[in-house]
Amino acid sequence: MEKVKIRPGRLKRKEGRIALAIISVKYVGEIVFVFVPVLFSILYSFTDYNAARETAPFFSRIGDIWIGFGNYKNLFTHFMYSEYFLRSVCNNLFMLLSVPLGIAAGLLVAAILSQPDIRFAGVFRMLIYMPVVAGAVAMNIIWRYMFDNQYGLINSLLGTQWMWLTDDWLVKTAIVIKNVWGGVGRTMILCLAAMLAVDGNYYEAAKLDGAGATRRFFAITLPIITPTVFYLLITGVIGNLQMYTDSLIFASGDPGAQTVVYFIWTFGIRRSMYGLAAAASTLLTITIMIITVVQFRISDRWVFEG
Amino acid sequence: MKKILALVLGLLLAVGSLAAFAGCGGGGDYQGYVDESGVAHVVFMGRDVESERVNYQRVVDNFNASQNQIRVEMQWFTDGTSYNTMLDGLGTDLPDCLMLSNAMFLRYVSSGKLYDYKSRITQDELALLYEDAYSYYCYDPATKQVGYSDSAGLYGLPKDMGPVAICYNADLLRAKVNEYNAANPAQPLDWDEITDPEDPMTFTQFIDVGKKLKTVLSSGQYVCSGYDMQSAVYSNNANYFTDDTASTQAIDSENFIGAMQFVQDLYKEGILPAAGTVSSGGEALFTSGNALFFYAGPWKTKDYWAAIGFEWDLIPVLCGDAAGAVSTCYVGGMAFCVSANSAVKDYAVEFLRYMALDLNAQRSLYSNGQCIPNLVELAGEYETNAENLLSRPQPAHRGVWLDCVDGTGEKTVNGQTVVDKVGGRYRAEAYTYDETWYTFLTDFMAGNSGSYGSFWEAKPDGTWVDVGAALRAFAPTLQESLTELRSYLV
Repeated sequence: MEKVKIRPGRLKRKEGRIALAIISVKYVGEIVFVFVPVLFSILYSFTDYNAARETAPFFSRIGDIWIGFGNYKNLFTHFMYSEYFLRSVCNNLFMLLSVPLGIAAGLLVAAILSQPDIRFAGVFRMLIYMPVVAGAVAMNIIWRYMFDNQYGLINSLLGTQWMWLTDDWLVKTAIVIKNVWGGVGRTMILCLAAMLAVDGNYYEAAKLDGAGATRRFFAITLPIITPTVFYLLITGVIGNLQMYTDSLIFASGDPGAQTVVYFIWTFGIRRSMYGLAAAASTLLTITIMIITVVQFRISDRWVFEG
Repeated sequence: MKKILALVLGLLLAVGSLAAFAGCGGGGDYQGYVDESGVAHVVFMGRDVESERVNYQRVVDNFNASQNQIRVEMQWFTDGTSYNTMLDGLGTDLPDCLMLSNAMFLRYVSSGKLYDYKSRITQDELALLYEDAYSYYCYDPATKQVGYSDSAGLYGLPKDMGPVAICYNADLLRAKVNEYNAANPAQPLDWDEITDPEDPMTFTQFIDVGKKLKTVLSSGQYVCSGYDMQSAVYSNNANYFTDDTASTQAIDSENFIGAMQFVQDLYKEGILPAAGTVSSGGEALFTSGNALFFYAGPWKTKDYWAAIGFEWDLIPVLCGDAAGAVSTCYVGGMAFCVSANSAVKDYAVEFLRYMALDLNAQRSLYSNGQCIPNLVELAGEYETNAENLLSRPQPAHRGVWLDCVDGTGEKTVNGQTVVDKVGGRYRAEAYTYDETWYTFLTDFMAGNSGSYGSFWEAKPDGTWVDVGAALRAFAPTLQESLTELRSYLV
C-alpha cells in the first residue's frame, strides 16, 4: 500500500513552533549547565590542567598539558592520590547501605500508616515527612550535634563514649543512620500513594481466602508497588553516589566519611587539580550509568508491570 | 518537523556553547580602568568575616575621601573557599587588588599572575614594617624561592600576620596552681615561671607541670585542649624541609622526630585529651572553661571577647629541648597583591600603600580585635592600648604576638639590652606550591593513611607507634611529593 504523507496544517505547525520555543528554555539550561560542562569535564580529564597554575587559555595550551589517561591511572596508582580515591570509593559503597535500609523503613512506616484504623495518621505523615523539606545543611549540623563525641545526645542516651564523628566505621554508620531517618519521609509518601492506589478487591479476595495482614502485604501490596520501589532504588543509588554534604558538614571531612564527590571537590576546587578531579567525575558518571542500566535490565525479573 | 527540531537543537547547542565559553572568560567585572576625567577606578577584592568587611569598607571609604584621583570599589567574600575558588577560576583576569593567603602566594607568583611593585615602595617605607610582615611576599624567580633579597621582587604588602601563642585560662590556672601548692607545699608550682610572657617553658618543663596539674583537675577538665604541631616542630630547631626552597624533606631529622615525640607524649601523659575525642580541635573545651591551655592567634581575640567569661592571657609557644631551640610559633597571614594584568596597577599600589602603611588605616584594622598592627611604630600603643582602641583589655600580654614577629636575639628596649627568646616562622605550606604534601603528612601521622596507625593514640595492645621509625619510613614518600610540587614552579 502506498504510504501517504500528511502535512500538518498551518495551525498545527504554529503550535509546534510555540511548543518548541517553550521547551527550548529547558534545553538551553541543560546544554549550558549540563551538556557543555560534561564535555569540558571529559576533556579536562585527559589533561594536567590546573587553574591556579595556568596563565594562558585552556585551548591554547591543550597540546602541552594533554596527558591521555594519566589522570585515570593516577586515581588508582599514584602514591598520594590513589589512597584517597580508593578510600572514598569504599566509603561510598558502605554508605549505599542507607538505600535498602531507608526503603525498608519507609515501606514499614507506609504499611502501618495505610491502615484505616490508625488515629492521627495525617499528623504522623506530616511529622515523618518534615525532614524531607528541611535543608540538608541544617539537618547535617543538627545531627552532628547529636552524634558529637563529647556532648552528643546519642552518647548521652546510650551511656557510651563512642567516637561517632572520628572513628572510621562509626562515622559511616552514623551517616547511614542519619540518611535512613532523612529518607523515610520521602519513601513513605511515595509508597503510601502507591499502596492507596491498589485495588481493594484484591484484599477482599485474599481475606476470603484467609490471608492475614502480613501475607496480604507480601503477596499483594509489595508486588504491586514494586515500580515505586524500583524508582526509589534508582534515585536512591544515584543520590547516594553523589553524596557530599555528609562528608563536608556532618563529618567535617573526616577520612572515614569522605566520598567520591568530596574527593572531586577537594582536588578539583580546593587544590585546582581540574584534570584529576575531572577524571574521578567521569568515572563516577560512567559508574552511575552502568549501575542504572544494570538495574533496569534486571528489573524485568521483579518489577510489576501491570 | 524533524528538520526543524534538528535545526533548533543545533542552534541551542551553539548558543549554549558560546554562553559557556563566555562564562569561562569572566573577569571583566573585576578589572579597573581610567575614565575620561583621568580618575582611576580600582577593584579591590577581599575575604573575611562580616565584621572585617565593615572594617575594610571604612578604610576604603576613608581612602576615597582622602583624594580625588583613585576610586576604589570593594568586593567582599565572607566564605574563604568560594573566594579562593573564584580567584583560581579567573586565571590571569584577577581583580586589580586582591587579598591572597600565604598558602596560595607561591603558585600565583610563580605563574606570573602578580605584579612586582618593589620599585614603587621605598626602603624607608619597608622599614616601617616588621620584616617578617613583608619578606614572605618577596619572590626570586631565578631561585624560585620566597624571602627578601636584593634580587627578589616584592609582590605583596601584609594584610595581617597571624602568629600563634599559647592562651591560658588565668582564673582556672591560678585556682589549680594554688590547689596543687596547698597539697604539695614541698614542691610547689611557680606561677611566675609558668606564665612568664618572655621566657617560655621547655617541652620537658611543660610536661612536668602538666602532670602535676592533672592531679588537681576535675573530671572533664584538661591541662591542654590542643597543641599546634608546626610550632612544636619550629620550636625544636626543626623544620619540614632542609631549606626555604622546600626541595628536600627533613622529617627524618632527630629534631623533627623529637618534636613529634613531644606531641605524642602530651597524649601519652593525658595532658591532651585522647585524640579524636574533642570537638572543634579543643577550642570548645577552652572557651567553656574546661581546659587550662590552648593556642590562639590574634584573629581569635574578637571571638574570645564575645565568648569567654573568664580572664585569659598569653604565653609564647613552648621551647624545644633540642640544642639551639628557640620558641618559634607558626605565622599565618594574608597579603595585599596586585594583578600583573591590571590596567591600573600603579593606582592599585597607591591604595595598598595606604592600607598597609597608613597609621590611621592600621589603627582602624587592629582595633577590630582580629589582627596585630604591621607597623613597628604602633607596637607600643597596641600593647598598652594607649589610644584606647581595643574595646577589651584582654589578653593583657598581647605583646607576645608581636614578639613572635619581631625577630629574636639581643635587642635594646628602653636603653636596656634584652634577649628576645620568642620568634616566628611562616607556616610550612607557604613554602610549597600547594598544601597537598602537608595534608598527606598529617593524615599519615593521624593514621588515616599508611600502615603505621595513629601517632596520637595507643594501639589495641597498649603500645604506641615508634615516631622515629614511622617518620623515617614515610620520608621517601614525602620527598616524592615535594619533588613533584617543586616541578610545578614555572
